[in-house]
Amino acid sequence: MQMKALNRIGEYILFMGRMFTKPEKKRVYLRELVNELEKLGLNSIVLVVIISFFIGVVLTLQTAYNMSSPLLPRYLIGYLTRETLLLEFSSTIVSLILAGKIGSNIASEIGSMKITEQIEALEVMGINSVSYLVGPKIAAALIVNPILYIFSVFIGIIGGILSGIATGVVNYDDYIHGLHFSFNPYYVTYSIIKTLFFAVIFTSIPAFYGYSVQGGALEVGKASTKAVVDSSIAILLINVILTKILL
Amino acid sequence: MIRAEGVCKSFDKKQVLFDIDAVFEPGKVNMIIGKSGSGKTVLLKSLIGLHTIDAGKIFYDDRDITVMDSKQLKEIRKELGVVFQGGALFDSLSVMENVKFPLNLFSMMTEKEKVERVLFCLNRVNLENVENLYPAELSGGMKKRVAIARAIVLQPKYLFCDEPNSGLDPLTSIVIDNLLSEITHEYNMTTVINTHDMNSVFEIGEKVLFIHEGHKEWEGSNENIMYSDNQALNEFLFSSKLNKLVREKLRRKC
Repeated sequence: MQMKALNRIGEYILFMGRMFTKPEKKRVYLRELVNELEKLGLNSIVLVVIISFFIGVVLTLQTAYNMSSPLLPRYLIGYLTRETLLLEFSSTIVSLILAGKIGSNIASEIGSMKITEQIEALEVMGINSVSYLVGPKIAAALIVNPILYIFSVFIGIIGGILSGIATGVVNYDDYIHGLHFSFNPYYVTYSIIKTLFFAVIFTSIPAFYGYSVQGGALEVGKASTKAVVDSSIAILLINVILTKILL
Repeated sequence: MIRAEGVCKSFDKKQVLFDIDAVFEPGKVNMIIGKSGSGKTVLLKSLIGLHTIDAGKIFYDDRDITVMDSKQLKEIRKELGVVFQGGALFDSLSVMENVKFPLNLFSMMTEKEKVERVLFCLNRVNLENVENLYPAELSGGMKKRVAIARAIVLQPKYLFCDEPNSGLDPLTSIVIDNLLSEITHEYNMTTVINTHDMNSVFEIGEKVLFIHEGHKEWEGSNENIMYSDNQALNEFLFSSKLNKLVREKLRRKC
């Protein structure tokens, strides 16, 4: 079992190694990058907006309902909502959600290409298929994920303000004061660094699983599930390691 | 010309090809035939460098691809056109983009020249007004023809087809066969076709190589294949009643 896992990790490292070759024609790769930016970025914005907004709402309401002591200032609601979004939700949880959405998509796309000989067609044309298919996905995720993080933080905070005011658990001034209270800009840097690592994980692991598909549609489905599970676990593990190192 | 010498290939200790020697001649339709699982596809993929062979040599006009580094192999691959069994068209690209794909990578043509070349190739495979369609919108025969157009767009010296008629009705199969034969002679290409469709062999196979359980069993033309006394070949050829009838008629004529 352990040997199998080690073998798999070794195969993954070799797979990643295949990516670093000189592109055949930069313009073709650039076109792929633009396509991936659209697929990974634009198509994920709506999901990130909806989830971040409602998480912002729930964080504000739950914090308010758990602050029963009158000694606790109300601005803490804004402060705690900001900290949760900034440190963990918008980086780790959004990346986990993207691992589900984008990861399964990448694994099934590449897996289908594998079983229909499209990858062999690329190889026979003299193209490094790993570099051509996976490189632009990783590059696009590296660009998009930090942007989605910042977007998610803002939308979550907006959800928090609106729900706080609408339900009367906190007023606007207290909430804004909480948002400014004890703000540490390094937390943003820390989270953006995390999003970069997560971007590599939720694109490369599913791509690796897609490449490993042998057989038919059933194997594509299995690879897709494994890809999501393993990339989610990898995100959580890397989160622990980076938190220990960076904070 | 492509020459294979003593090609051996195994997967996980299971040997699939045993000491295959073959010559595929230019300007001719060379066919590899054999039962499913006989090693035809492994041989074809070994010839195009998708599988690394365990022993032997493969020459493309005296250039041994088994000793080439990836850069040299890349240069050879620009001279190859390959039609995969299912067509292997890129699902996310239109017909125009699929056929243009090799041009985008390897040619210095202007965009206008590329479009003209794509339309010429599509026209050559008898397809019109399909350039904006996606592979999912095409029939099986049309997919194969687009795959052929993509394979010939860079004017290759060598054309490989893996079971080009699989999944096609007899009429469409004949159209594809004739098309492959025509372009082989027109461009003087070395064409290697993998098939177990005997109609194709009799229609267009100018040189035939029979593979049985990973061994080369027989080599010859489609004219003398009917008169072979090779037992494995005869079992393969005359498994259908139609072929048996044809053989009997031919014998009576003799």
